[in-house]
Amino acid sequence: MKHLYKYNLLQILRRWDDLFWALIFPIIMATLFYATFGSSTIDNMKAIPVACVHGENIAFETFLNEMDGEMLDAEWMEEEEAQKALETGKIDGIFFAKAEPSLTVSSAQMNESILGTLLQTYLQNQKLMGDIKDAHPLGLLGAIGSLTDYKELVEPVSTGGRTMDSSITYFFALIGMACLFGAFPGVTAAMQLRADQSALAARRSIVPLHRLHMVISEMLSVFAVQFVNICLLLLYMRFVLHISFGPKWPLLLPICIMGSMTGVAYGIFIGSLRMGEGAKTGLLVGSSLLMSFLAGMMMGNMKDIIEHVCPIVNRLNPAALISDAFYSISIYENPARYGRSLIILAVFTAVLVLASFGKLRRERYDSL
Amino acid sequence: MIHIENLVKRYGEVLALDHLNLDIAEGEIFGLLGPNGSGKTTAINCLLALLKYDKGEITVFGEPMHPESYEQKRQIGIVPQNVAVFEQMSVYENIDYFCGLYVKEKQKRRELVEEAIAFVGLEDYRKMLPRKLSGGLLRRLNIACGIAHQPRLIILDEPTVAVDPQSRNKILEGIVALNKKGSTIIYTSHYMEEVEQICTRIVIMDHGRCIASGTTEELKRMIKTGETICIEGVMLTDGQTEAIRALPHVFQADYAQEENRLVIKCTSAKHNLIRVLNYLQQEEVPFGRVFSELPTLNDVFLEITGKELRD
Repeated sequence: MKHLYKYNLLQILRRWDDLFWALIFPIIMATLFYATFGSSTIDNMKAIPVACVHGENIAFETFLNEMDGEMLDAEWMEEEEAQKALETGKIDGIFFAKAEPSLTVSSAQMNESILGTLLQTYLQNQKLMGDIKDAHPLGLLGAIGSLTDYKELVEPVSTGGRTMDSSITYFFALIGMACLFGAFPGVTAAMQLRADQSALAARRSIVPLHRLHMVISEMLSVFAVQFVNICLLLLYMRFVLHISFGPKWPLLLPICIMGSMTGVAYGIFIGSLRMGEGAKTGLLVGSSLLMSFLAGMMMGNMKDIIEHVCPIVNRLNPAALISDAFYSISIYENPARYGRSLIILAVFTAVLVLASFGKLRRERYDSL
Repeated sequence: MIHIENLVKRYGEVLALDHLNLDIAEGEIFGLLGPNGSGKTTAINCLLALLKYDKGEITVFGEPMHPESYEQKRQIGIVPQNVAVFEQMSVYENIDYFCGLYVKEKQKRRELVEEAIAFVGLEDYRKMLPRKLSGGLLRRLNIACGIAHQPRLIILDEPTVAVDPQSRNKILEGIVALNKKGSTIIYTSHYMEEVEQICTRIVIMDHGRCIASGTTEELKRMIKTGETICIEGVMLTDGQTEAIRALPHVFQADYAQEENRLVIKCTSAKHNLIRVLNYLQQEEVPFGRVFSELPTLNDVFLEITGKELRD
C-alpha cells in the first residue's frame, strides 16, 4: 500500500496538465480577480452610497443623518434626481423619509440587502418604542437610548457579524471551483483503474493486489495532493494577494478538506464512466465551469439570484455549497449553515465514491 | 501447468473463441500463432481472468483461475501487446513500481530491478522518461516491467510489433534466456519466423479455434508440401508445364506467363530440384534465378486454411 501510495503521488505531481487545472489555473484566476477587484477584505467596509428624499418623518431623517458617514454615504436630493442616480448606478438605494419610511433598490446584491436590513431594524425599533410608550411609558427613555445604538445594532444584523467587500464572492466561488478541479487528477486516476480504458490499466488489473487497495490508494493520493493544492491557493490569496478571510480562518480547513474530497470523488466518478477520454474531459470542464458559474464566479450575484429562483440548485451544486460554507463561517457567522453545507458535501462525496467504486471494483470485463 | 478446456467467448454475435483447448507444460516456450483477430489476445485475457467468457474451464498451476487468484497472479508476468508503462515515471521507477506489486522486500526488489534493467539492456537509460525512448527501447522497458519479479510463467503478447530487427533479435534472445532460467513462456505472434525460431511447441489459431499444434517439425510434416521450387525468367509452353506437373513428387506447378515465373510444389523427397532442372535442360528451356524453400509455418497455415497467415 505504501509502495502504491508513493508512486501514485509521484505520478500525480508529475502530471503537469492535471496540476495546471488543479493549482496553476486557480492561482492565475485569483491573480486576475485581484487585478480586477483589488484586495478584498471581510473586516472593513465602504460606506454604501444612497440618496435620501425628504419627507414628513423627521425621526427617520435624523436616523439617516446619524448613519451618514461610517455606514452610509447619504446625499439628500429630490426624488426625480434620486431615481436618475439609481438608474445610472451612482447609488445603491433611495430612502424615503415618509410617514412610512421606505427604500427603493434596483438589484438584490449585498449592499442592497444591507440597506433593507437597516430599514427593517429601524421599523422594528420604531414599533418597539411605540409599544413601550403605550405599555411602559417609564421605559421610553431607555428605548430612545437604543435608537442611538443603531449603528452597533444594525452592523451585526446586516452582515452576520462582519462587514465585507462584495468582491469576496468571486474569491469564494473561485475556491469552490478549485476544489472541483480536483476532479482532473481524479479522472486520470480512475482511468488507470479500468482495464477497458488503457493497456496500462489492463496491466494494473492483473497484479496480485486486492482491487480495493488499488482504488483506495489512488483516491487517497489524489485527495492528498488536491488538499495541498487548495491550501496553497488559500495561502497565496491570504499572504500574496492579502485577501482576508476573517478571524475564524481555521474553520476554513474543514471546508478545504471536504471540498477537495468532493472534487476528487467527482473526477473519479466521471473517470469510472465508460466513455472516451475526450468526452470525459469535456464533461468535466463543462460541468465544473457551469457549477462555478452558478456559484457566482463569473457573476457575483448569481448565487443570490438562484437562491431566490430555485434554491435547490444551490443545495445541490458543490461549488455553491463550498462557497456558501466559506460565507457561513467568514461572513454570516452561521455555524448551522456551515455544518449543513459540509454535511451535504459529505453525502455528495459518499454517493460519488460508492457509485465509482461500484464501477471500478469490477475485475472482469465483457470486452477490452 | 495451464489447462484450457472448451473455452468459448463471444463478443455479441462474433464468436471470438470457439471451444478452444490448450495444454501448456512447465518449461515450454509455447507459441500461439495466428493472424490478427484469430483470438490469441482474447485467449490470453481470459486466461488472466480479465475477460468474462461464456463457457469453458481454465486452470493455472493446477488451480481454477479467478480474478481473486492472487497467489497464481503473483507467479505470472505479463508483457502486453501495447506498451503499458507510466509516462511520468523513469525507466527505473516504472520497473520498480511493477516489481513492487509482487515483491515486498526492498533489498530483494532493488536487486531484481537491477537484474531486469541489465537483462533488457537499459542500463544507460534508467533515469529517462518513456517518451524519450525509441520504439525498440520502449518495448524492452515493457518487457522489463513484466519480468522483473522473475515469474514462473511469462506471457508475451506480440512483444515485437513495430520493433526494428536489431531490437527484435535482442528481445527474442532474451526470451530464450528467460526460459533457460526456468520460466515457462507463452508467446503470441503473427510473425511465423519468430515463433519458428524460439518456440518449442506451437498452436496455430484461426477464428478462435486451434487448427494445428505440435513442434515446428511436426506441423510441417502435417502438410503435403515438402519443398517449394521457384524458377524465374523462364518461358514455357502449356505442354511443358503439364510435363513438369507429371514429374515424380510434384503435386502442383503454377506458371505465371506475365512474370515468366514458375512455382512448383513437391512432396518431401530427394532430388526434386535436380529433376526439374534436368527436364528444363532436356527441353532446352533457358531460365534465370532458381531457388528452393523448405515449408514454412505460413505453408502450414495456407494448406490448412486456404489463406495466407498475414492476410
